[in-house]
Amino acid sequence: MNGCTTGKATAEAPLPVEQAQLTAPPLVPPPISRKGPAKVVVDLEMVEQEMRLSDGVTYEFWTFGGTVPGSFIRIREGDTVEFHLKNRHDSHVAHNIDLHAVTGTGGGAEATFTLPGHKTQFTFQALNPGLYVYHCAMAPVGMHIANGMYGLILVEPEEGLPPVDREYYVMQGDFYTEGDHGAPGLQPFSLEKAVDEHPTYVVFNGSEGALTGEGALTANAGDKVRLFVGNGGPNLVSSFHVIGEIFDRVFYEGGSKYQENVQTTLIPAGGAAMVEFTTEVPGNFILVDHSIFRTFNKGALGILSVDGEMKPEIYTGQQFSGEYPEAEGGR
Amino acid sequence: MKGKGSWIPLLCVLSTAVLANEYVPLPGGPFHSSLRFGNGGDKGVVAGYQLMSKPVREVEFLAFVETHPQWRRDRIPGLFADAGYLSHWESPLAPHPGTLNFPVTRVSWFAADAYCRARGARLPTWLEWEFAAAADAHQTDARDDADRRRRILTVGTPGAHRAAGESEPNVYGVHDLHGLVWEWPWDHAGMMAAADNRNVDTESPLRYCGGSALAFSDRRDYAVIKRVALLSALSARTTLFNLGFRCAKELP
Ligand SMILES: [Cu+2]
Repeated sequence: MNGCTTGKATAEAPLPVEQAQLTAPPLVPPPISRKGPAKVVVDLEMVEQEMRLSDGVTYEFWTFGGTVPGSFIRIREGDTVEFHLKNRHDSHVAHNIDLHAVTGTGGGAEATFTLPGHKTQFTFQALNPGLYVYHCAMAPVGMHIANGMYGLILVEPEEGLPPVDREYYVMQGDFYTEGDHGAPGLQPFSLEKAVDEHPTYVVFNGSEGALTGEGALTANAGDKVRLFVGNGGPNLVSSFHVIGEIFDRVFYEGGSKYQENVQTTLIPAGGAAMVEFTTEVPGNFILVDHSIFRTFNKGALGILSVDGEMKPEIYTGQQFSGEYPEAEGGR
Repeated sequence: MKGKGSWIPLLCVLSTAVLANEYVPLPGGPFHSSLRFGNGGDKGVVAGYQLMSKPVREVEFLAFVETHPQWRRDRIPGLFADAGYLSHWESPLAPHPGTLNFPVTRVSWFAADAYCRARGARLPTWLEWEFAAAADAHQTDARDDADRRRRILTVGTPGAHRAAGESEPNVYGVHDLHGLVWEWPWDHAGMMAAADNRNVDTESPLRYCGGSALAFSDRRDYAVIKRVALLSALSARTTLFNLGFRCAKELP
Protein backbone atom coordinates (compact mmCIF):
# COMPACT_ATOMS: atom_id res chain seq x y z
CA MET A 1 0.00 0.00 0.00
CA ASN A 2 1.19 3.51 -0.59
CA GLY A 3 1.53 6.03 2.13
CA CYS A 4 -0.40 8.85 0.54
CA THR A 5 -1.10 11.62 2.95
CA THR A 6 -3.00 14.49 1.46
CA GLY A 7 -2.40 17.01 4.18
CA LYS A 8 -6.14 17.21 4.76
CA ALA A 9 -6.13 14.35 7.22
CA THR A 10 -4.92 16.38 10.13
CA ALA A 11 -6.50 14.17 12.79
CA GLU A 12 -4.48 11.16 11.66
CA ALA A 13 -0.79 10.90 12.35
CA PRO A 14 0.89 11.43 8.99
CA LEU A 15 2.40 7.97 8.90
CA PRO A 16 2.53 5.88 5.77
CA VAL A 17 0.21 2.90 6.13
CA GLU A 18 1.18 -0.57 5.11
CA GLN A 19 -0.15 -4.09 5.51
CA ALA A 20 2.24 -6.39 7.32
CA GLN A 21 3.40 -9.29 5.24
CA LEU A 22 3.24 -12.39 7.43
CA THR A 23 5.08 -15.62 6.73
CA ALA A 24 4.66 -19.22 7.78
CA PRO A 25 7.70 -20.90 9.35
CA PRO A 26 10.51 -21.41 8.47
CA LEU A 27 10.23 -18.33 6.24
CA VAL A 28 10.77 -14.78 7.37
CA PRO A 29 9.39 -11.60 5.74
CA PRO A 30 12.00 -9.54 3.86
CA PRO A 31 14.00 -6.92 5.74
CA ILE A 32 12.37 -3.53 6.14
CA SER A 33 13.81 -0.97 3.76
CA ARG A 34 11.86 2.00 5.10
CA LYS A 35 13.95 4.70 6.76
CA GLY A 36 11.12 6.01 8.93
CA PRO A 37 8.22 4.73 11.00
CA ALA A 38 4.94 3.58 9.51
CA LYS A 39 1.54 2.52 10.62
CA VAL A 40 1.58 -1.22 10.07
CA VAL A 41 -1.65 -3.19 9.93
CA VAL A 42 -1.37 -6.79 11.11
CA ASP A 43 -4.18 -9.23 10.34
CA LEU A 44 -3.88 -12.50 12.17
CA GLU A 45 -6.42 -15.30 12.36
CA MET A 46 -6.52 -17.90 15.12
CA VAL A 47 -7.32 -21.38 13.88
CA GLU A 48 -7.86 -24.65 15.74
CA GLN A 49 -7.06 -27.60 13.52
CA GLU A 50 -5.80 -31.13 13.50
CA MET A 51 -2.31 -31.37 12.01
CA ARG A 52 0.61 -33.74 11.93
CA LEU A 53 2.73 -33.97 15.09
CA SER A 54 4.83 -36.91 13.98
CA ASP A 55 4.61 -39.75 11.47
CA GLY A 56 1.19 -41.29 11.94
CA VAL A 57 0.47 -38.96 14.84
CA THR A 58 -1.85 -35.96 14.76
CA TYR A 59 -2.83 -33.36 17.32
CA GLU A 60 -5.56 -30.76 17.63
CA PHE A 61 -3.36 -27.67 17.42
CA TRP A 62 -4.50 -24.18 18.31
CA THR A 63 -2.65 -21.72 16.09
CA PHE A 64 -1.96 -18.16 15.07
CA GLY A 65 -2.35 -18.20 11.31
CA GLY A 66 -2.75 -21.95 10.88
CA THR A 67 0.84 -22.93 11.64
CA VAL A 68 2.96 -23.81 14.67
CA PRO A 69 4.74 -21.59 15.44
CA GLY A 70 2.41 -18.83 14.26
CA SER A 71 3.00 -16.36 11.46
CA PHE A 72 6.23 -14.36 11.69
CA ILE A 73 5.62 -10.64 12.11
CA ARG A 74 8.30 -8.13 11.12
CA ILE A 75 8.10 -4.46 12.01
CA ARG A 76 10.47 -1.57 12.72
CA GLU A 77 11.27 0.27 15.92
CA GLY A 78 8.94 3.26 16.22
CA ASP A 79 6.22 1.73 14.06
CA THR A 80 2.63 2.04 15.16
CA VAL A 81 1.00 -1.34 14.81
CA GLU A 82 -2.73 -1.67 14.34
CA PHE A 83 -3.37 -5.25 15.32
CA HIS A 84 -6.44 -7.08 14.05
CA LEU A 85 -7.03 -10.44 15.66
CA LYS A 86 -9.67 -12.84 14.36
CA ASN A 87 -10.85 -16.06 15.92
CA ARG A 88 -12.18 -18.38 13.25
CA HIS A 89 -15.85 -19.32 13.42
CA ASP A 90 -15.20 -22.98 14.10
CA SER A 91 -12.90 -22.36 17.06
CA HIS A 92 -14.42 -23.80 20.19
CA VAL A 93 -12.87 -21.44 22.74
CA ALA A 94 -11.89 -17.80 23.07
CA HIS A 95 -8.29 -16.74 22.43
CA ASN A 96 -6.21 -13.59 22.73
CA ILE A 97 -2.64 -12.45 22.13
CA ASP A 98 0.11 -11.29 24.46
CA LEU A 99 3.00 -9.89 22.44
CA HIS A 100 6.17 -9.47 24.42
CA ALA A 101 7.00 -6.58 22.07
CA VAL A 102 4.13 -4.55 23.50
CA THR A 103 4.44 -2.05 26.33
CA GLY A 104 0.98 -2.06 27.91
CA THR A 105 -1.35 -4.10 30.06
CA GLY A 106 -1.19 -7.79 29.29
CA GLY A 107 0.91 -7.13 26.18
CA GLY A 108 -2.35 -6.72 24.30
CA ALA A 109 -4.06 -9.68 25.91
CA GLU A 110 -6.67 -7.66 27.77
CA ALA A 111 -7.57 -5.87 24.54
CA THR A 112 -7.93 -8.99 22.43
CA PHE A 113 -10.23 -11.34 24.33
CA THR A 114 -11.70 -12.82 21.15
CA LEU A 115 -14.65 -15.20 20.98
CA PRO A 116 -15.08 -17.69 18.14
CA GLY A 117 -16.32 -15.85 15.06
CA HIS A 118 -15.28 -12.51 16.48
CA LYS A 119 -12.45 -10.05 15.88
CA THR A 120 -10.71 -7.52 18.09
CA GLN A 121 -8.33 -4.67 17.48
CA PHE A 122 -5.78 -2.64 19.39
CA THR A 123 -2.85 -0.41 18.51
CA PHE A 124 0.60 -0.21 20.03
CA GLN A 125 3.83 1.55 19.31
CA ALA A 126 6.94 -0.62 19.06
CA LEU A 127 9.21 1.16 21.51
CA ASN A 128 11.97 -1.44 21.90
CA PRO A 129 13.81 -3.23 19.13
CA GLY A 130 14.38 -6.95 19.54
CA LEU A 131 13.05 -10.42 18.80
CA TYR A 132 9.98 -11.17 20.86
CA VAL A 133 7.68 -14.07 21.53
CA TYR A 134 3.94 -13.67 21.23
CA HIS A 135 1.48 -16.18 22.63
CA CYS A 136 -2.12 -16.71 23.60
CA ALA A 137 -2.81 -15.87 27.23
CA MET A 138 -6.37 -17.07 27.67
CA ALA A 139 -7.09 -19.19 30.71
CA PRO A 140 -5.99 -21.91 31.05
CA VAL A 141 -2.93 -20.29 29.51
CA GLY A 142 -0.66 -23.33 29.76
CA MET A 143 -3.02 -25.34 27.65
CA HIS A 144 -3.28 -22.67 24.97
CA ILE A 145 0.51 -22.48 24.71
CA ALA A 146 0.93 -26.25 24.90
CA ASN A 147 -1.46 -26.53 21.95
CA GLY A 148 0.81 -24.35 19.82
CA MET A 149 -0.36 -20.78 20.32
CA TYR A 150 2.94 -18.91 20.03
CA GLY A 151 5.14 -17.23 17.46
CA LEU A 152 7.74 -14.51 16.95
CA ILE A 153 7.59 -10.81 16.22
CA LEU A 154 10.77 -9.04 15.17
CA VAL A 155 11.12 -5.33 15.86
CA GLU A 156 14.04 -4.22 13.71
CA PRO A 157 16.18 -1.48 15.16
CA GLU A 158 15.95 1.88 13.36
CA GLU A 159 19.21 1.25 11.57
CA GLY A 160 18.03 -2.19 10.45
CA LEU A 161 19.85 -5.49 10.77
CA PRO A 162 23.06 -6.11 8.82
CA PRO A 163 22.26 -7.86 5.55
CA VAL A 164 22.69 -11.63 5.39
CA ASP A 165 22.15 -14.24 2.69
CA ARG A 166 19.55 -16.37 4.49
CA GLU A 167 17.09 -15.81 7.28
CA TYR A 168 15.01 -18.55 8.85
CA TYR A 169 12.38 -18.87 11.56
CA VAL A 170 12.77 -21.75 14.01
CA MET A 171 10.78 -22.20 17.19
CA GLN A 172 10.93 -24.95 19.74
CA GLY A 173 7.93 -26.25 21.64
CA ASP A 174 7.12 -29.09 24.02
CA PHE A 175 3.98 -31.18 23.55
CA TYR A 176 2.08 -33.40 25.96
CA THR A 177 0.03 -36.27 24.61
CA GLU A 178 -1.93 -39.03 26.31
CA GLY A 179 -0.15 -41.69 24.29
CA ASP A 180 3.58 -42.35 24.42
CA HIS A 181 5.95 -40.88 21.88
CA GLY A 182 5.03 -42.44 18.56
CA ALA A 183 1.63 -43.78 19.65
CA PRO A 184 -0.39 -43.41 16.45
CA GLY A 185 -3.57 -41.51 15.72
CA LEU A 186 -5.06 -38.30 17.03
CA GLN A 187 -3.44 -37.75 20.40
CA PRO A 188 -5.26 -35.78 23.08
CA PHE A 189 -3.53 -33.25 25.30
CA SER A 190 -2.34 -34.71 28.61
CA LEU A 191 -2.84 -32.30 31.44
CA GLU A 192 -0.99 -34.55 33.88
CA LYS A 193 2.16 -34.65 31.76
CA ALA A 194 1.98 -30.91 31.19
CA VAL A 195 1.66 -30.12 34.87
CA ASP A 196 4.47 -32.54 35.65
CA GLU A 197 6.56 -31.03 32.83
CA HIS A 198 7.14 -34.39 31.18
CA PRO A 199 6.70 -33.76 27.47
CA THR A 200 6.05 -36.52 24.99
CA TYR A 201 7.43 -34.45 22.13
CA VAL A 202 9.96 -31.66 21.97
CA VAL A 203 10.10 -30.34 18.42
CA PHE A 204 11.10 -27.48 16.17
CA ASN A 205 8.37 -25.81 14.15
CA GLY A 206 5.43 -27.77 15.43
CA SER A 207 6.14 -31.33 14.41
CA GLU A 208 8.76 -34.00 14.49
CA GLY A 209 10.68 -33.77 11.21
CA ALA A 210 9.35 -30.33 10.25
CA LEU A 211 12.93 -29.29 9.44
CA THR A 212 14.19 -32.50 7.90
CA GLY A 213 13.86 -34.08 4.46
CA GLU A 214 11.85 -31.72 2.24
CA GLY A 215 11.59 -29.31 5.12
CA ALA A 216 15.32 -28.96 5.77
CA LEU A 217 16.69 -25.44 5.80
CA THR A 218 19.09 -24.80 2.94
CA ALA A 219 22.10 -22.60 2.32
CA ASN A 220 25.22 -22.46 0.17
CA ALA A 221 28.70 -22.69 1.56
CA GLY A 222 29.88 -19.19 2.31
CA ASP A 223 26.38 -17.85 3.09
CA LYS A 224 25.77 -15.65 6.05
CA VAL A 225 22.83 -17.19 7.88
CA ARG A 226 20.62 -15.62 10.50
CA LEU A 227 18.26 -17.78 12.51
CA PHE A 228 15.43 -16.24 14.47
CA VAL A 229 15.06 -18.84 17.17
CA GLY A 230 12.21 -18.82 19.65
CA ASN A 231 11.05 -21.09 22.39
CA GLY A 232 7.31 -21.30 22.96
CA GLY A 233 7.66 -23.77 25.81
CA PRO A 234 5.30 -24.00 27.62
CA ASN A 235 7.72 -25.60 30.07
CA LEU A 236 11.18 -26.42 28.79
CA VAL A 237 14.20 -24.19 28.41
CA SER A 238 16.15 -24.91 25.22
CA SER A 239 19.90 -25.44 24.94
CA PHE A 240 19.99 -24.49 21.29
CA HIS A 241 22.95 -25.77 19.32
CA VAL A 242 23.83 -26.42 15.69
CA ILE A 243 26.10 -29.41 15.34
CA GLY A 244 29.19 -28.52 13.32
CA GLU A 245 28.72 -24.76 13.47
CA ILE A 246 29.88 -22.07 15.81
CA PHE A 247 27.60 -19.06 16.15
CA ASP A 248 29.64 -16.01 15.17
CA ARG A 249 27.15 -13.85 17.01
CA VAL A 250 24.26 -14.56 19.34
CA PHE A 251 21.90 -11.76 20.22
CA TYR A 252 21.04 -13.61 23.41
CA GLU A 253 17.53 -13.33 24.80
CA GLY A 254 16.56 -11.56 21.59
CA GLY A 255 18.09 -8.31 22.84
CA SER A 256 20.49 -5.73 21.46
CA LYS A 257 23.80 -7.05 22.76
CA TYR A 258 25.61 -9.94 21.24
CA GLN A 259 28.05 -12.55 22.40
CA GLU A 260 30.59 -13.89 19.89
CA ASN A 261 31.81 -17.41 19.19
CA VAL A 262 29.08 -19.31 20.94
CA GLN A 263 28.55 -23.08 20.84
CA THR A 264 25.19 -23.42 22.62
CA THR A 265 22.80 -20.70 23.67
CA LEU A 266 20.07 -20.94 26.27
CA ILE A 267 16.62 -19.89 25.12
CA PRO A 268 14.08 -19.51 27.89
CA ALA A 269 10.46 -20.57 27.51
CA GLY A 270 8.78 -17.44 26.24
CA GLY A 271 12.11 -16.11 24.96
CA ALA A 272 14.13 -15.91 21.79
CA ALA A 273 17.59 -15.38 20.33
CA MET A 274 19.04 -14.30 17.00
CA VAL A 275 21.99 -16.39 15.96
CA GLU A 276 24.28 -15.59 13.05
CA PHE A 277 26.97 -17.65 11.44
CA THR A 278 28.69 -18.17 8.12
CA THR A 279 28.49 -21.59 6.56
CA GLU A 280 32.05 -22.35 5.55
CA VAL A 281 31.74 -25.88 4.28
CA PRO A 282 29.02 -28.11 2.80
CA GLY A 283 27.20 -30.75 4.78
CA ASN A 284 24.18 -31.40 6.91
CA PHE A 285 24.25 -29.33 10.07
CA ILE A 286 21.90 -30.54 12.75
CA LEU A 287 19.82 -28.18 14.86
CA VAL A 288 19.30 -29.65 18.30
CA ASP A 289 18.26 -28.95 21.83
CA HIS A 290 21.49 -30.06 23.49
CA SER A 291 19.49 -31.40 26.39
CA ILE A 292 20.12 -34.24 24.08
CA PHE A 293 17.58 -36.90 25.03
CA ARG A 294 15.04 -34.47 23.64
CA THR A 295 16.74 -34.71 20.29
CA PHE A 296 17.21 -38.44 20.22
CA ASN A 297 13.93 -39.48 21.82
CA LYS A 298 11.49 -36.62 21.58
CA GLY A 299 12.02 -35.04 18.19
CA ALA A 300 14.08 -31.85 18.74
CA LEU A 301 16.06 -32.15 15.53
CA GLY A 302 16.29 -30.06 12.39
CA ILE A 303 18.67 -29.96 9.46
CA LEU A 304 20.45 -27.13 7.72
CA SER A 305 21.62 -28.55 4.44
CA VAL A 306 24.58 -26.66 2.99
CA ASP A 307 25.65 -27.07 -0.63
CA GLY A 308 29.03 -26.18 -2.01
CA GLU A 309 32.63 -27.06 -2.58
CA MET A 310 34.56 -28.97 0.06
CA LYS A 311 37.23 -26.91 1.77
CA PRO A 312 39.70 -29.41 3.19
CA GLU A 313 41.74 -26.64 4.76
CA ILE A 314 38.75 -26.05 7.06
CA TYR A 315 37.36 -29.57 7.34
CA THR A 316 38.64 -32.65 5.63
CA GLY A 317 36.03 -35.22 6.42
CA GLN A 318 37.32 -38.60 7.42
CA GLN A 319 40.99 -39.16 6.57
CA PHE A 320 41.45 -42.60 7.99
CA SER A 321 39.45 -45.44 9.45
CA GLY A 322 40.97 -48.77 10.42
CA GLU A 323 42.14 -50.98 13.23
CA TYR A 324 45.14 -50.30 15.31
CA PRO A 325 47.20 -53.12 16.81
CA GLU A 326 46.46 -53.78 20.45
CA ALA A 327 50.12 -53.60 21.37
CA GLU A 328 50.54 -50.21 19.76
CA GLY A 329 49.45 -48.51 22.93
CA GLY A 330 52.51 -50.02 24.65
CA ARG A 331 50.79 -50.79 27.88
CA MET B 1 -33.05 -6.47 32.10
CA LYS B 2 -32.52 -9.56 34.10
CA GLY B 3 -35.68 -9.10 36.17
CA LYS B 4 -37.81 -12.11 36.76
CA GLY B 5 -40.60 -12.44 34.27
CA SER B 6 -44.04 -13.59 35.20
CA TRP B 7 -43.84 -17.19 36.24
CA ILE B 8 -46.44 -19.00 34.29
CA PRO B 9 -47.33 -22.16 36.19
CA LEU B 10 -46.67 -25.06 33.90
CA LEU B 11 -49.52 -27.48 33.73
CA CYS B 12 -47.32 -30.43 33.43
CA VAL B 13 -48.49 -32.70 30.68
CA LEU B 14 -47.06 -36.10 31.27
CA SER B 15 -46.03 -37.18 27.87
CA THR B 16 -43.57 -39.67 26.56
CA ALA B 17 -43.45 -37.97 23.18
CA VAL B 18 -39.98 -37.83 21.67
CA LEU B 19 -40.07 -34.09 21.83
CA ALA B 20 -40.44 -33.87 25.57
CA ASN B 21 -37.52 -32.26 27.31
CA GLU B 22 -38.26 -33.15 30.88
CA TYR B 23 -37.10 -31.50 34.02
CA VAL B 24 -35.38 -33.66 36.55
CA PRO B 25 -35.06 -32.80 40.24
CA LEU B 26 -31.66 -32.15 41.78
CA PRO B 27 -31.51 -32.21 45.56
CA GLY B 28 -28.78 -29.61 46.01
CA GLY B 29 -26.48 -29.74 49.00
CA PRO B 30 -23.02 -28.60 50.12
CA PHE B 31 -20.86 -27.94 47.09
CA HIS B 32 -17.33 -26.74 46.44
CA SER B 33 -17.22 -24.74 43.25
CA SER B 34 -14.09 -24.98 41.11
CA LEU B 35 -14.50 -21.27 40.71
CA ARG B 36 -13.27 -19.04 43.47
CA PHE B 37 -15.84 -16.54 44.59
CA GLY B 38 -14.70 -13.59 46.65
CA ASN B 39 -17.54 -14.02 49.08
CA GLY B 40 -16.64 -17.60 49.94
CA GLY B 41 -19.51 -18.89 47.80
CA ASP B 42 -17.24 -21.59 46.46
CA LYS B 43 -17.85 -23.54 49.66
CA GLY B 44 -21.53 -22.90 49.82
CA VAL B 45 -24.72 -24.87 49.64
CA VAL B 46 -26.74 -25.25 46.48
CA ALA B 47 -30.49 -25.23 47.05
CA GLY B 48 -32.54 -27.94 45.38
CA TYR B 49 -33.80 -27.17 41.86
CA GLN B 50 -35.00 -28.76 38.65
CA LEU B 51 -33.02 -28.84 35.44
CA MET B 52 -33.88 -29.81 31.88
CA SER B 53 -32.52 -33.25 31.16
CA LYS B 54 -31.22 -32.09 27.76
CA PRO B 55 -30.22 -28.80 26.23
CA VAL B 56 -33.06 -27.08 24.40
CA ARG B 57 -33.26 -28.45 20.86
CA GLU B 58 -33.82 -26.69 17.58
CA VAL B 59 -37.30 -28.15 17.23
CA GLU B 60 -38.23 -26.75 20.63
CA PHE B 61 -36.78 -23.37 19.88
CA LEU B 62 -38.63 -23.33 16.57
CA ALA B 63 -41.90 -23.77 18.44
CA PHE B 64 -40.92 -20.82 20.60
CA VAL B 65 -40.15 -18.43 17.76
CA GLU B 66 -43.35 -19.48 16.02
CA THR B 67 -45.38 -18.38 19.02
CA HIS B 68 -43.08 -15.48 19.98
CA PRO B 69 -42.29 -13.91 16.62
CA GLN B 70 -40.38 -11.03 18.18
CA TRP B 71 -37.59 -13.59 18.68
CA ARG B 72 -37.41 -14.57 15.00
CA ARG B 73 -34.04 -13.81 13.52
CA ASP B 74 -35.56 -11.36 11.05
CA ARG B 75 -37.41 -9.45 13.75
CA ILE B 76 -35.15 -9.49 16.78
CA PRO B 77 -33.67 -6.07 17.61
CA GLY B 78 -29.88 -5.89 17.33
CA LEU B 79 -29.78 -4.99 20.99
CA PHE B 80 -30.85 -8.53 21.90
CA ALA B 81 -28.69 -10.61 19.58
CA ASP B 82 -25.73 -10.19 17.27
CA ALA B 83 -25.82 -10.93 13.56
CA GLY B 84 -25.10 -14.62 14.05
CA TYR B 85 -28.46 -15.24 15.78
CA LEU B 86 -29.98 -18.43 14.29
CA SER B 87 -28.02 -17.64 11.13
CA HIS B 88 -27.52 -21.34 10.46
CA TRP B 89 -31.24 -21.88 9.90
CA GLU B 90 -32.45 -22.11 6.33
CA SER B 91 -35.00 -19.39 6.95
CA PRO B 92 -36.39 -17.61 10.03
CA LEU B 93 -38.78 -20.50 10.69
CA ALA B 94 -36.82 -23.39 9.23
CA PRO B 95 -33.94 -25.14 10.93
CA HIS B 96 -32.22 -27.81 8.85
CA PRO B 97 -34.50 -30.84 8.88
CA GLY B 98 -31.57 -33.07 9.75
CA THR B 99 -30.68 -31.22 12.94
CA LEU B 100 -34.05 -30.72 14.61
CA ASN B 101 -32.95 -32.72 17.62
CA PHE B 102 -29.56 -31.07 17.89
CA PRO B 103 -29.20 -28.52 20.63
CA VAL B 104 -30.15 -25.07 19.43
CA THR B 105 -27.09 -22.83 19.14
CA ARG B 106 -26.44 -19.29 17.94
CA VAL B 107 -28.85 -17.97 20.54
CA SER B 108 -28.12 -14.93 22.71
CA TRP B 109 -28.55 -14.80 26.48
CA PHE B 110 -31.57 -12.59 25.96
CA ALA B 111 -33.21 -15.17 23.71
CA ALA B 112 -32.34 -18.06 26.01
CA ASP B 113 -33.68 -16.12 28.97
CA ALA B 114 -36.90 -15.29 27.09
CA TYR B 115 -37.36 -18.92 26.09
CA CYS B 116 -37.06 -20.17 29.65
CA ARG B 117 -39.34 -17.46 31.00
CA ALA B 118 -41.93 -18.29 28.37
CA ARG B 119 -41.81 -21.83 29.68
CA GLY B 120 -42.26 -20.77 33.31
CA ALA B 121 -38.60 -21.37 34.04
CA ARG B 122 -35.28 -19.55 34.08
CA LEU B 123 -31.68 -20.13 33.14
CA PRO B 124 -29.67 -22.08 35.74
CA THR B 125 -27.05 -20.20 37.70
CA TRP B 126 -23.44 -21.16 37.10
CA LEU B 127 -23.40 -22.91 40.46
CA GLU B 128 -26.49 -24.93 39.57
CA TRP B 129 -24.95 -25.87 36.25
CA GLU B 130 -21.68 -26.82 37.89
CA PHE B 131 -23.45 -28.84 40.59
CA ALA B 132 -25.25 -30.91 37.97
CA ALA B 133 -22.13 -31.23 35.82
CA ALA B 134 -20.05 -32.58 38.70
CA ALA B 135 -22.00 -35.84 38.59
CA ASP B 136 -21.35 -38.83 36.41
CA ALA B 137 -23.47 -41.92 35.88
CA HIS B 138 -22.49 -43.33 39.27
CA GLN B 139 -21.77 -40.56 41.73
CA THR B 140 -22.96 -37.07 42.47
CA ASP B 141 -19.48 -35.59 42.57
CA ALA B 142 -17.12 -37.38 40.21
CA ARG B 143 -14.74 -34.49 39.75
CA ASP B 144 -11.81 -36.28 41.37
CA ASP B 145 -12.01 -39.15 38.89
CA ALA B 146 -8.86 -38.63 36.83
CA ASP B 147 -10.06 -40.63 33.85
CA ARG B 148 -13.30 -38.75 33.65
CA ARG B 149 -11.49 -35.46 34.02
CA ARG B 150 -9.24 -36.39 31.14
CA ARG B 151 -12.19 -37.44 29.00
CA ILE B 152 -14.12 -34.27 29.64
CA LEU B 153 -11.17 -32.10 28.75
CA THR B 154 -10.51 -34.08 25.61
CA VAL B 155 -14.03 -34.16 24.22
CA GLY B 156 -14.11 -30.41 24.69
CA THR B 157 -17.21 -28.89 23.28
CA PRO B 158 -16.90 -29.04 19.54
CA GLY B 159 -20.48 -28.07 18.99
CA ALA B 160 -23.64 -30.04 18.42
CA HIS B 161 -22.54 -32.69 16.01
CA ARG B 162 -25.12 -35.03 17.38
CA ALA B 163 -28.62 -34.98 18.77
CA ALA B 164 -29.19 -33.96 22.35
CA GLY B 165 -29.77 -36.75 24.84
CA GLU B 166 -27.72 -39.44 23.12
CA SER B 167 -25.04 -39.50 25.78
CA GLU B 168 -25.35 -41.45 29.00
CA PRO B 169 -27.29 -39.52 31.64
CA ASN B 170 -25.71 -38.71 34.99
CA VAL B 171 -27.11 -39.93 38.31
CA TYR B 172 -29.77 -37.23 38.22
CA GLY B 173 -30.83 -38.16 34.69
CA VAL B 174 -29.21 -35.12 33.07
CA HIS B 175 -27.57 -35.54 29.65
CA ASP B 176 -24.94 -33.68 27.67
CA LEU B 177 -23.51 -31.35 30.28
CA HIS B 178 -20.12 -32.14 28.78
CA GLY B 179 -19.02 -32.70 25.23
CA LEU B 180 -21.88 -31.22 23.25
CA VAL B 181 -22.25 -27.44 23.51
CA TRP B 182 -21.37 -24.65 25.91
CA GLU B 183 -24.44 -23.52 27.84
CA TRP B 184 -25.58 -20.08 28.97
CA PRO B 185 -25.72 -19.66 32.73
CA TRP B 186 -28.04 -17.03 34.20
CA ASP B 187 -25.15 -15.13 35.73
CA HIS B 188 -22.47 -15.35 33.02
CA ALA B 189 -21.68 -11.67 33.30
CA GLY B 190 -21.10 -11.77 37.02
CA MET B 191 -19.10 -14.97 37.14
CA MET B 192 -15.77 -13.33 37.70
CA ALA B 193 -17.02 -10.19 39.39
CA ALA B 194 -16.38 -11.29 42.94
CA ALA B 195 -12.87 -12.40 42.19
CA ASP B 196 -12.27 -9.14 40.34
CA ASN B 197 -13.31 -7.04 43.28
CA ARG B 198 -11.22 -8.93 45.72
CA ASN B 199 -8.10 -8.77 43.65
CA VAL B 200 -7.90 -5.14 42.72
CA ASP B 201 -4.47 -5.64 41.24
CA THR B 202 -5.67 -8.41 38.96
CA GLU B 203 -8.62 -6.63 37.54
CA SER B 204 -9.41 -9.14 34.82
CA PRO B 205 -7.98 -12.37 36.09
CA LEU B 206 -9.01 -14.44 33.09
CA ARG B 207 -7.72 -12.11 30.48
CA TYR B 208 -4.06 -12.75 30.80
CA CYS B 209 -1.57 -15.18 32.12
CA GLY B 210 -0.60 -14.29 35.59
CA GLY B 211 -3.89 -13.55 37.19
CA SER B 212 -5.97 -16.40 35.92
CA ALA B 213 -4.72 -18.94 38.43
CA LEU B 214 -6.17 -16.81 41.19
CA ALA B 215 -9.69 -17.26 39.95
CA PHE B 216 -9.99 -20.99 40.48
CA SER B 217 -10.11 -23.00 43.64
CA ASP B 218 -9.31 -26.15 41.70
CA ARG B 219 -6.51 -25.26 39.32
CA ARG B 220 -6.45 -28.70 37.73
CA ASP B 221 -10.04 -28.69 36.62
CA TYR B 222 -9.14 -27.49 33.14
CA ALA B 223 -12.50 -28.38 31.64
CA VAL B 224 -14.14 -25.90 34.00
CA ILE B 225 -11.40 -23.32 33.48
CA LYS B 226 -11.81 -23.52 29.72
CA ARG B 227 -15.55 -23.14 30.01
CA VAL B 228 -15.46 -20.25 32.44
CA ALA B 229 -12.88 -18.41 30.35
CA LEU B 230 -15.28 -18.55 27.45
CA LEU B 231 -18.46 -17.76 29.36
CA SER B 232 -16.97 -14.77 31.09
CA ALA B 233 -16.15 -13.25 27.69
CA LEU B 234 -19.73 -13.32 26.49
CA SER B 235 -21.98 -10.34 26.33
CA ALA B 236 -25.70 -11.00 26.59
CA ARG B 237 -26.22 -10.49 22.85
CA THR B 238 -23.40 -12.81 21.80
CA THR B 239 -24.18 -15.90 19.76
CA LEU B 240 -21.80 -18.75 18.99
CA PHE B 241 -22.10 -21.84 16.86
CA ASN B 242 -21.38 -24.00 19.89
CA LEU B 243 -23.30 -22.15 22.59
CA GLY B 244 -26.77 -23.32 23.63
CA PHE B 245 -28.71 -23.48 26.87
CA ARG B 246 -31.13 -25.38 29.04
CA CYS B 247 -33.61 -24.12 31.59
CA ALA B 248 -34.02 -24.62 35.33
CA LYS B 249 -36.74 -23.96 37.84
CA GLU B 250 -37.48 -24.34 41.51
CA LEU B 251 -38.52 -27.66 42.97
CA PRO B 252 -42.30 -28.07 43.00
CU1 LIG C 1 -5.67 -19.47 22.86
